Amino acid sequence: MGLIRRIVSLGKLAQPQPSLDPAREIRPDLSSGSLVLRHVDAGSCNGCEIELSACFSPIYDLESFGVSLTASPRHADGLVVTGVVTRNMQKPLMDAYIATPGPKAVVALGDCAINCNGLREGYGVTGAVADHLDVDLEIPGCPPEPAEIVAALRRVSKR
Amino acid sequence: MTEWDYSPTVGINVKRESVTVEPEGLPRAVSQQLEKGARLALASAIDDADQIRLVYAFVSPNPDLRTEISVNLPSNDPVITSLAPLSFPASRFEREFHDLFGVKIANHPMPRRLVRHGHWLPTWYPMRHNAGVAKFSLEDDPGYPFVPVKGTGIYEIPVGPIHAGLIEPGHFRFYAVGETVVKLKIRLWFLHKGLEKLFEGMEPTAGVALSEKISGDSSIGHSLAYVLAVEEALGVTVNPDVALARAMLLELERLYNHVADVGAMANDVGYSVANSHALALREELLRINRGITGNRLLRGAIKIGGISLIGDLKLDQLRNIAESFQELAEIIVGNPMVHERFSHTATLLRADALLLGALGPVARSVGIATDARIAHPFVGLPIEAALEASGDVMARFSLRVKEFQASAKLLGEFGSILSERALPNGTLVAARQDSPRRQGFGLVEGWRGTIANRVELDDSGHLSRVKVVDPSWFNWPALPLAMAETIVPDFPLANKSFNLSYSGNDL
Repeated sequence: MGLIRRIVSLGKLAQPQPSLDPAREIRPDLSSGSLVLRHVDAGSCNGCEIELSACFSPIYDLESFGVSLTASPRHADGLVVTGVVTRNMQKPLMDAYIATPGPKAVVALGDCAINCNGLREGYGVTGAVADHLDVDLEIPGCPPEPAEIVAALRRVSKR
Repeated sequence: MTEWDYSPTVGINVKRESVTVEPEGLPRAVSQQLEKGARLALASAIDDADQIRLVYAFVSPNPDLRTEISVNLPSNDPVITSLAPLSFPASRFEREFHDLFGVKIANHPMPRRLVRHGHWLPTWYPMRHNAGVAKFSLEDDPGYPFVPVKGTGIYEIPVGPIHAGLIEPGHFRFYAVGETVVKLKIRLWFLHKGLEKLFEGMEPTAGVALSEKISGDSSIGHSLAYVLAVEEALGVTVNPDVALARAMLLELERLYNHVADVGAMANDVGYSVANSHALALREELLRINRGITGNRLLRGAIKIGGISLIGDLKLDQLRNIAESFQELAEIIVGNPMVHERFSHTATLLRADALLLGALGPVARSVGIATDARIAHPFVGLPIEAALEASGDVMARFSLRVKEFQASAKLLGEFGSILSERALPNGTLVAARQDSPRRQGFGLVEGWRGTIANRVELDDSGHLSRVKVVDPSWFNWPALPLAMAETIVPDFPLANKSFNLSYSGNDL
């Protein structure tokens, strides 16, 4: 079977997402309808990355809610940070933050980014994301499931 | 269901040997192992207060033999002579010994720092018990002394630690002429958290959750290697059905990761539609994982002495996924553009892979039949190592397709064990207090290759040392070799075809 026939036979895979509650929208100073994020793994185990990438699969289709990832922080509206902040990633994280033009949002994705998730005492760990940056949005879970990530990021993209 | 005898206990056929040698006798003891064809699977330093103990774990298959060579060094002046002339992996473990334990390595051909980043104090050895709190500042970083590459037209491209895509951090320094890479240097350990030290003092049961965070995509592989090591240390024997169910979870982990890699490789040559199809298949597999264990990454399932499962594996659903995956793989390589980009790209030579001790799909794609499921089984299953010969991106792609199908077949035959509700559910019942060993060694064939874990317990039954070796530790040095004469724009493709763990390497 060729690609076109496969696409036709599979049909639309996107799963309907619940409608957005305007009362839960945050950061009204950021543009409405789109959110371009620079992802920074500051000490993650790669689990949150699996679920974040799943958000951009055809099932969750996060881009249809205006959220996309960009290669350069210069093009970003904010950072989505995973993992604890290690000593060795502290400076790259701050560099990426400084390179992001304001106004900007910081999203802490996953339990490690929010509260270190049991890794705080590691000698290579400096703390959670909020120990370094003002966090606008926390998405808890180890790792959070894609539907939870999509719902949370839509509060910032407002779409 | 096919009739098959599976051996009932963890490591029942394992033969263990251990010897302690004087520092002068170490090279001889190590070369004897290497001449016998044994592989250095793990090397661990242990701070015994008055002495630093180095343990080299050699393993060989058929019969499953695990030999530990120990050497004791005075803790105030620990020095050994480098084993670099004998073994490249040993030479890297030595650099780790130095950076984390302050062991001096005489005659090391590459005495540069490995784990330690520039802003760490050079005399602060964090794994020593008396290391104290780290005192250093980011401003103190003199930078890494990259070996300069000079010549007409050679230029340098620094990349990372933060990369363009959704991947883990590491720094790549390319030296190129035109588009062709002359040399690639990789600096890792940006994710170094000090995980091994976090294990120290923990109850063994508490360590399971920590081991799942070593590399999130290998939660089963790493937690299983850890649990096998702890069970050996405690003298725990598990029910044969539990061992089989664990093996099935390991195959489920292989499935979702191989699907993702196949899609990501297509994505890196611009065939993003194929990646979307692969992501859709991965989503189905992650949901199957969630149905069986309650977690999409299969976390919380592996327990010391048991297993914890909540749902059934639907075999017809798995069969449909395997068929759909096969069709997708054929669509991908059936595209002439993809075929051309995959073929002869980033070729790893078999001789290089052998020298580096490469593991997993990276080694099997150059025809090296390494597979812990065959060499060091904790349960007997009809497994044949899938092999490819050409060592290029195409080989690593085709190998993953083969391995996916082999794992799906295994799950088709034995996966019904996951639906067995009478499995002992995560309780440690048989800990033998008289177990004389107090140490254990676990080997598991994760989807990236053989994961090794060595555990020591103190007199109170708490963890006193845990050493983790992800297969990426062995495979990372292979990537720059495969990049020789490859063009810079093919690096993302080459990197993805290896798909090594940063977190599992950096610890």
